[in-house]
Amino acid sequence: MKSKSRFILPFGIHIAKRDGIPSWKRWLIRAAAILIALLLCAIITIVITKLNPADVLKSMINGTFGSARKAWKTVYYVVILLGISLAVTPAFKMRFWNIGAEGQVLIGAFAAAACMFYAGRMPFFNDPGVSMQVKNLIVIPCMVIAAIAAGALWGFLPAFFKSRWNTNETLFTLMMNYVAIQLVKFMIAYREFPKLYQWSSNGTSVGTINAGFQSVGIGTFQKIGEQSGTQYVYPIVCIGLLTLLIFLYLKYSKHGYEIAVVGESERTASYAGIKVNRVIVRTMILSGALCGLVGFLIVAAEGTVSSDVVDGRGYTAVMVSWMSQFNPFGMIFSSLLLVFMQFGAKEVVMPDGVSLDKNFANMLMAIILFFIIGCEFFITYKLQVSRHKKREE
Amino acid sequence: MWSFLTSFIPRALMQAMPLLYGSTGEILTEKSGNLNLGIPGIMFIGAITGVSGAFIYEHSVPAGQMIGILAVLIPLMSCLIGSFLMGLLYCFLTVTLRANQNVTGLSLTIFGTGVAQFLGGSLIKLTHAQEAGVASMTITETVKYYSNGNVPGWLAYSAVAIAILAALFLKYTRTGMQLRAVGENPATADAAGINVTRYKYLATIVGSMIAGLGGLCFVMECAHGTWSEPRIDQIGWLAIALVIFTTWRPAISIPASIMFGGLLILSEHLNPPIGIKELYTLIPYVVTLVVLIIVSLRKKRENLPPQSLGLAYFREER
Repeated sequence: MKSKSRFILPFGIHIAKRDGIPSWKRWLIRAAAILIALLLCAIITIVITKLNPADVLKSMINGTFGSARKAWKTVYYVVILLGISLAVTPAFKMRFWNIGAEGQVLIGAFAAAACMFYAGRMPFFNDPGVSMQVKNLIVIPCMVIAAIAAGALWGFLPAFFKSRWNTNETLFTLMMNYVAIQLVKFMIAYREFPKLYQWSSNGTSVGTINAGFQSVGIGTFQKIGEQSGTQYVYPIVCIGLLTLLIFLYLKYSKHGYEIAVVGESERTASYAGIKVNRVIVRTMILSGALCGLVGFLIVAAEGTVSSDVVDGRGYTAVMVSWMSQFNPFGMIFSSLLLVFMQFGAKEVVMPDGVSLDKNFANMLMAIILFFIIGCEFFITYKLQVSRHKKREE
Repeated sequence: MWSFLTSFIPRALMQAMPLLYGSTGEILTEKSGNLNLGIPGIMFIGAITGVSGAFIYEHSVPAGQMIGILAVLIPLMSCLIGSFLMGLLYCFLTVTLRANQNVTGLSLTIFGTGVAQFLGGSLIKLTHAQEAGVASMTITETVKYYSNGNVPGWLAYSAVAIAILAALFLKYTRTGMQLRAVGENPATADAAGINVTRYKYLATIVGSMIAGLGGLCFVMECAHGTWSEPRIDQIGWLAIALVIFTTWRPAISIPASIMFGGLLILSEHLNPPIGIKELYTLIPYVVTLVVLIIVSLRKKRENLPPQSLGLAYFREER
């Protein structure tokens, strides 16, 4: 059964499945693909901008890490993207095509903001007699719980219908994105959500979440971001922890093992006594809940919510997760690369005054991804030149 | 009431046609078993290549001296070529290299959106047409050959024609039936001597070209030839939703697109109280969700998605 090759290509080349591939070779193929992709991206950039590659790189670095403020912002964007990628990973590993992270994050952010909004209208929170610490101690847990619950609900619904009636989850989650977007738009317009700002200006939003955090004893982080990055400390710490937890969860927990088996083959999983439906629903609730948590972190750092606060990162996260082959530590680098390109591109100005932008960065990112998804083929299969002359049949 | 209808109906029709193109293209694609989530990106590419073609032609000849047939053909051909290439890329990755369809489609969408928005924003600056006092990329001359303002132009009628043709093709021709067989069960189709790879390639590429026309149609009909960050991605995702909504039938897609198109712009015509507008826009998505659930509940065979939808076909792994 060694030669399974039946696909006949020109020049007597056959496609055959590899029996197994050493890990170093696998990563070598991936590295080669990424290298070729990066080279192609560099060529495209140079052809379009007609700039010296060194200059391009210099302005990109300047755009991302040029000042303390820029560096904080870059790191913040990296961790948020990383957070969403971590959140979608369990479901993806299970081969549950959840492309609804956009909506799950947004609805989480929305729920967190709603807590702030309604608390801001209550007399208790406008009472100057009550100390800020007490107010925060009530509001912040409410925000976290609401965000997680909302995200989990958005994840649960498609999983429930998928496990019960095999409803197509890709399209379901996609529609849920738009439901979330329109709901947020509606609430902003109808309930005049911007009033959220008023409450924040009383000093109960962004900064204070960190202030509350400070009093818990992580004030040392404050020193790192002396000037303006302080509101980003909180998300960075949280997502850092989350990376580790997700790694452990997927690699060493029983749940993680079940996810991997279901992803490989649902049939194998059910023969092995794994309750597939339960795993699907549980994992999607987890995935959605984590997305909701990221939504909370966005609101906590930015102090507001709008319908495009997620800004397509729900979709980008799928790419990040896939690029890194579901490895949480790999995702750190992928998200860094992506944010570096997105932020850096804005600083690249062509001789005639046109600057590159986020869209250009997205285009390059997609090219890199094309190479990565394409190279998986060469990991699973090998091309053989047939030893015999083409047989007449 | 009459004036409402006369202003609303033509606009609803114009809004519907890009959706119809997109959904017809996606139905053909999905009938071959390929779930192409790259439709928004393909529509974007179709739009930007068409507009760029028109823009370059318009700025290379003196005003008033454009030749009608070229003004029509140049955008049309560049749109078709652009979306052809996108379809080819998708097929190469998913069929030949057997990559995951969801991820490939998503990256195609991100790619197409990126290319189109970048070019749309900077082409005008790169060609130095800015000095002529144009703020955003417009193709006012070319648009005249495509539509005349307030009534749907020929691209709209062709959308309906293409949808009807696709419906007839899928239902009554031998090739159409073989295509459906590929989508339902490629292994069986393969055993029956159908060239699965060729069918997948052809259906996806033709579908992608039809969807690309939808992008061009959006710019010409809905945006009147002005490129200002169009919301083509929204149209593209809705087109994919329409595929489920119509349970994979291009003929039903004609009234369904008109309904969706109407719902999209209804709020602008009814002047509802502030905020309620967004709820009107919510309707198409909720309706699609409900249809998706009902279809999977009832499990009537003719309403289900093609059975091998989203799965790559490896002959050796039967």
